[in-house]
Amino acid sequence: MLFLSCAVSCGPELTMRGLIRLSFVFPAIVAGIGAGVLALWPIGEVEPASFPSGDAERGAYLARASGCVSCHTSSAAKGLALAGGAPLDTPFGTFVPPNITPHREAGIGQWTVQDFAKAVRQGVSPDGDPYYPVFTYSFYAGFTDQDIADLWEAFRTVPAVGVAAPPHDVGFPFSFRSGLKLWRAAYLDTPETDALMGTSSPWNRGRQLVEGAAHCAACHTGRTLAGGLDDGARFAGNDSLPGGSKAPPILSDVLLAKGWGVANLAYALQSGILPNGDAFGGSMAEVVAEGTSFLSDADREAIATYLLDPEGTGDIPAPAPTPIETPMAGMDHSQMDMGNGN
Amino acid sequence: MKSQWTGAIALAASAVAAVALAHTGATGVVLDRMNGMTAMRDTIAELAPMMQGTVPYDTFIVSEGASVIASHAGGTMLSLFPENSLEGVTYAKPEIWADWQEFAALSEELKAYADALAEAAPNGLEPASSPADEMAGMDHSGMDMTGTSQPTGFTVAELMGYGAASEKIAVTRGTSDPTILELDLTTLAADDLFNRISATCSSCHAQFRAGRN
Repeated sequence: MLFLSCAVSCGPELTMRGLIRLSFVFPAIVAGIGAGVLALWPIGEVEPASFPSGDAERGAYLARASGCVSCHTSSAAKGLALAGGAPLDTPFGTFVPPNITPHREAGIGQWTVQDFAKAVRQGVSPDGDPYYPVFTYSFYAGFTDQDIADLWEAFRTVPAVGVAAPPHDVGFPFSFRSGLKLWRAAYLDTPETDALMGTSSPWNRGRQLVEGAAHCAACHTGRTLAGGLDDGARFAGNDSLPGGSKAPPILSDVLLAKGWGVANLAYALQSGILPNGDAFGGSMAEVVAEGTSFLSDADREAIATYLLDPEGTGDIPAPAPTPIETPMAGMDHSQMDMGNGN
Repeated sequence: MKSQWTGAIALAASAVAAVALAHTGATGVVLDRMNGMTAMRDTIAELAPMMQGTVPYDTFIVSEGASVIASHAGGTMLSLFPENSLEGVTYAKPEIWADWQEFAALSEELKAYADALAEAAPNGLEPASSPADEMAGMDHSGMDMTGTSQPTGFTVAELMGYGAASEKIAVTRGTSDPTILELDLTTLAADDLFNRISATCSSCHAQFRAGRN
């Protein structure tokens, strides 16, 4: 309206100046409105008013399998359990996994189990803000109420630590959290972890772990420019991991060609030893040391079964007899904690 | 006669490995330590199936292999890492010299475990769990996502990462803790010692080896 009135009453110079001014003002107005809409856009669903009784042992096992402990504990710096993890350098900024001990100020001591469930399964904070997807909550969307109750019970056993982790170091526009709502709309999917008829129990268990808790795709699948998983390159490896490191492909045909079978893959997840005698390096070694080495033999075999037979045919070909090169040996995530962070 | 064959095969393998490594462009001390690492890797590859029980256990091969690892560990390994020797093709990370004490401790730990395995090879493998034990630890929860911690034997505190780390965790991670080495390691089962060796390798690689392009 301002522009129209000026165009009618002002001379040609002023009209041009008005246009130039408008070119600055108009986008700012649109951006402001957009930001307001994003800020007001509600996300997340209401969690159940009550949860079943939790089992701390089961929860602790799930926490270990899900990478909670490895990500939120700075093992290299000999940090206290779950008091904050090692910083994670990404193209979007540096993220620091926060203190999630039960401390009331520095940790999550004031949370309810509903807050906890919403954070883990939905990636939404108690304030309603979306978490950065560096926290791999999307893989946990299939956790049941019982899973959440078990995790909650386990987390409540952890000694409180009264020192908060440093804040993330993320520049604009990524510091605008509400903008993540667009990311969620574009990329947030629920993992396929339900049991499939006609497939074996180990295969289904493997699918639950690989696609869910263990979140293998978080590192072994490439990312789009916006940081979403590249669905067209699932498990095809990722050359652009945080810190400039790489994750090799873990497609079944690649694994088989490299000499992996169920037995030696399960053994590698327990021991860190590869078929050619090498040992995992980088953060895959950390994944084994802080994660998969704590799993049961059955779960490690289940993971291997699923990765080597993703279609669930029940027929896993014999691996190549002589491993020439082992794909995961070169996995270098030396600047990265393999787990998750928010 | 068996020893001669083993030696000849090891020598041939080392020669092939040396040629292969030379083609990577490594020279000097970097090539020397790559040769050492390759020899240890090949030994681990030979012993791992025995430790898993997928090939028959051979006391002699285990003992000889452990000696090979020991000969490349400890002071021998450390002498091949002069400060900031990162020239040319190398997977070594600068953190080696930034945290030399940790690196040296892991190297000495590797030698201690390997020396012990060379002596303890006749101990053989730990007996497998009895069916009754396995039933007690089975997960009867169907498709429950959580599985159960029972088969692994870890406590809640261990799984959540607090409290005193049990020996099992220390071994899984590789320790660089000298008190662990004060035990009489030669009384341990061969696969226990082998697990300690592999955990030490993995722990060292996690901290001090860069990935490959």
